[in-house]
Amino acid sequence: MSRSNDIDTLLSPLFRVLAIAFAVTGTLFFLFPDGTIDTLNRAGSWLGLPPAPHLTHRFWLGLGTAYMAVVTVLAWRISPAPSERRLLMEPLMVGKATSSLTCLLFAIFDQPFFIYIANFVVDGALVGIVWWAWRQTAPNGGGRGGGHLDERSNQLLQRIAEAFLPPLDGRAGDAEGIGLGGRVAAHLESQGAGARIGGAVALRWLNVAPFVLGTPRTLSRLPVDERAMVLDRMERSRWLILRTPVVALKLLLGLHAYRQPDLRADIGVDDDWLNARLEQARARRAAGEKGPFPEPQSPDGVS
Amino acid sequence: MACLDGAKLTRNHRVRCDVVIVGTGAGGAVFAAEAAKAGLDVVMLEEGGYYTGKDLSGDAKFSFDHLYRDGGLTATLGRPPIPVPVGCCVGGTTMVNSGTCYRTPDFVLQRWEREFGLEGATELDNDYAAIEQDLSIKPVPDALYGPQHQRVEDAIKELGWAGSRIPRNEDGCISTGTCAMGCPSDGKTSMAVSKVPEALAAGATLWTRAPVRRILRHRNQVVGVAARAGTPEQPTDLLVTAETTVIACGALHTPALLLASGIGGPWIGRNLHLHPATRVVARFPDEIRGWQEVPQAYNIDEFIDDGVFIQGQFVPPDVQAPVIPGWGVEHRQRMAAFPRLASFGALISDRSAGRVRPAGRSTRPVATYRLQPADRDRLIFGIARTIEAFLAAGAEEVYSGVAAMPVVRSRTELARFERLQPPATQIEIMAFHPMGTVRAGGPEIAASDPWGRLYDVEGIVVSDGSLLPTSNRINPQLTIMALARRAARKLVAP
Ligand SMILES: Cc1cc2nc3c(=O)[nH]c(=O)nc-3n(C[C@H](O)[C@H](O)[C@H](O)COP(=O)(O)OP(=O)(O)OC[C@H]3O[C@@H](n4cnc5c(N)ncnc54)[C@H](O)[C@@H]3O)c2cc1C
Repeated sequence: MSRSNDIDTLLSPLFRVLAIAFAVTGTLFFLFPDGTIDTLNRAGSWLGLPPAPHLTHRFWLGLGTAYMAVVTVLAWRISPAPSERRLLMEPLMVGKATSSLTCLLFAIFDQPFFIYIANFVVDGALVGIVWWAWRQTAPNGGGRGGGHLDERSNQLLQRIAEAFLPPLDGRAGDAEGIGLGGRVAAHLESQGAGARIGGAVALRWLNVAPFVLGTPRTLSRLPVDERAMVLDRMERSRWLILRTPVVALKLLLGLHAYRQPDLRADIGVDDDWLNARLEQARARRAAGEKGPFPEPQSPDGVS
Repeated sequence: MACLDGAKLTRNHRVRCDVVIVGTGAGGAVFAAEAAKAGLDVVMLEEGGYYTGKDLSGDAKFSFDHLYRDGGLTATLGRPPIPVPVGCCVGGTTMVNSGTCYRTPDFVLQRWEREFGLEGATELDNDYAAIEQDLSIKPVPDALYGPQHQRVEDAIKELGWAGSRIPRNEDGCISTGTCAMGCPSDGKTSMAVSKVPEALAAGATLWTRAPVRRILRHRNQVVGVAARAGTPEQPTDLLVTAETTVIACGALHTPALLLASGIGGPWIGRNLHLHPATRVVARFPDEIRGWQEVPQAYNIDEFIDDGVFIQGQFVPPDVQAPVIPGWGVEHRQRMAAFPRLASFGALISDRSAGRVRPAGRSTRPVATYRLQPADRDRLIFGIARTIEAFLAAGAEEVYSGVAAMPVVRSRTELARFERLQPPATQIEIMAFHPMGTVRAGGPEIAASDPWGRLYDVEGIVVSDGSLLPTSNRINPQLTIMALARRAARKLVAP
């Protein structure tokens, strides 16, 4: 699987979702401009911010709607092939950055209406997302190269690995001893940008997920036995958003832990059985009982 | 005969042939062998590399990296997301499957013929028999049959249920116990060591590591395919033009490739069936050492008519670990009993149907699938029957794969388990049999005719699990092969 295909798999749905979100919000603003302002004013009033006034005429609404139409079309056109169409991300970023920064200026120099602040934050975040996508799709960008899992993700992975395979009296091997976190990190890295980025997002989510279960600390700050208990609760949850990342990580942790000869021996799996059969298979091959099977050759020189 | 490594192609290359076949799994390899033996000039294109026993040692990580697609993590989106591992190597998923080979039950074939217009579905006997002979398919012999299956067999006899030893495609299996990781002894007659060499010996050409990116068409006629060869740093194009193009990429990748190439029609990508499955693990008081026997050797036939089939499914500890309940110390203690574990899988014939679309303009499939409540109930029924069989066989505790009640120790607890009605999201589901996404049959309800020829365009045939009109109620590879053989013979002698 080529890397551009890999990163596009992740980015295509993202841009499609963005396009739909722009279309929906643009339509809502257009149809209910005052209602939108009222709703945001209500949120702002909880924070003690003054209410923004309603529109007095519709000229700026026309221009704003035109802008929403443009960003919708841009995101929609990018979505089928983000790597190929990355240049379209640039006007999208310019539009969103301008919208975000002008609102920041208005919030500072005009009045601190919540509607300004919200737009600054949301459009600013969108600039960040599109910028990240733009970098990932660069000809030599992170989405195409091998790429490494970031430091924080590595730490989180280590914490979760410790909870999976803690030291146990009388038993061989533990997560730290076999470098389990590092092995899973390398696995994610080897699967391309999608797995690496998906892994980083999932790890961050798992770190804060204990709050959802009423445990007022992040996963990485819990003692190892409590960490294991919380992960177990998440695994049993009926909520996919809690369960899926835990199940996926357990799959990788199990794979990398129990392929270690020490750990296999520790649980009573003697590889002697397999090794004897591998030897038998080699002998059969040597005797010509099986194979030889075709070997791919270099095609240089094929006509 | 030529067996070429596409990754080593350093300049663009063009080939012309009678038949180009994309994918070398169950459907593609059988088609290739038949067509080549009939004297056609055949070119096979395969995305993955060529591995046989000499490259394999039963190591799961190696297999996930080299034999499986996406490191084994291919999955559908939906409630719940379901992992659907598929092979990506010469031989396709037959390289990593358990070797179970069943004919589709007659009542299903009759329905395909009657309701879906799949002409000749009930006349596959010759094709079945030929494949059974070629791949040396036979029930597991005593020498390879071990205690995990024997115990369950004894127990279900006591329960009065029907069951039987599984027929497998093997010729000299020495029971390494690592079928799902690729057979290190070449005892399993996967396509890589049977039909692909047969096609090559009959004069076909194989390009490995040559993923097809587009199907080429001129107006309403498909004229070949374009593959990406070379390396990511120095990519090259491999263009193959042919009278007939056969797409055999499996039920997830075939519709994605067709749709990404602008070949549509109302049925392509729809009707995805998976045979959702779950693994149930049991701990016995004494040792079983399940890794020392054929992992899938016995089938509980009793519930096939209800759409449930239950089969042995032992896997090595690195693959078993995730389904053992608990984390930390609890998990380690359970793993320490590994030599005493047995495991069976319950699979259901699903009525839920998903859909496959390509991701953007790429050929990568995005599969969506939502498990319907009736299928969830059937899955729970299958798990419950598996637990019942294990308890009857003397298991101390059974790991259900259902998060709402992961451990069952007695019949009383089993009764409670059956009343649970957990949401599908709490069931450990996997699927191994994607099918149905380019279904074959009559023109009103199918994408292709009974021989896999697409209705909407000329010069193209589909030959893989996509063709099955519905779930076939049992492991599908033999039926995929039989349909492929029949389709190839139709091409050769219309
Ligand atoms: C772990 C496991 C165990 C199983 N056990 C059994 C069993 O015991 N019995 C049974 O009947 N079934 C079993 N199955 C399922 C069975 O193997 C499949 O149903 C069958 O192999 C499907 O055949 P196919 O031709 O549709 O596709 P595949 O066998 O998957 O072949 C498709 C091929 O196409 C290639 N390909 C895809 N896209 C491209 C492209 N763009 N360009 C070039 N090549 C491409 C792939 O790399 C692959 O080689 C199992 C599956 C798994 C995962």
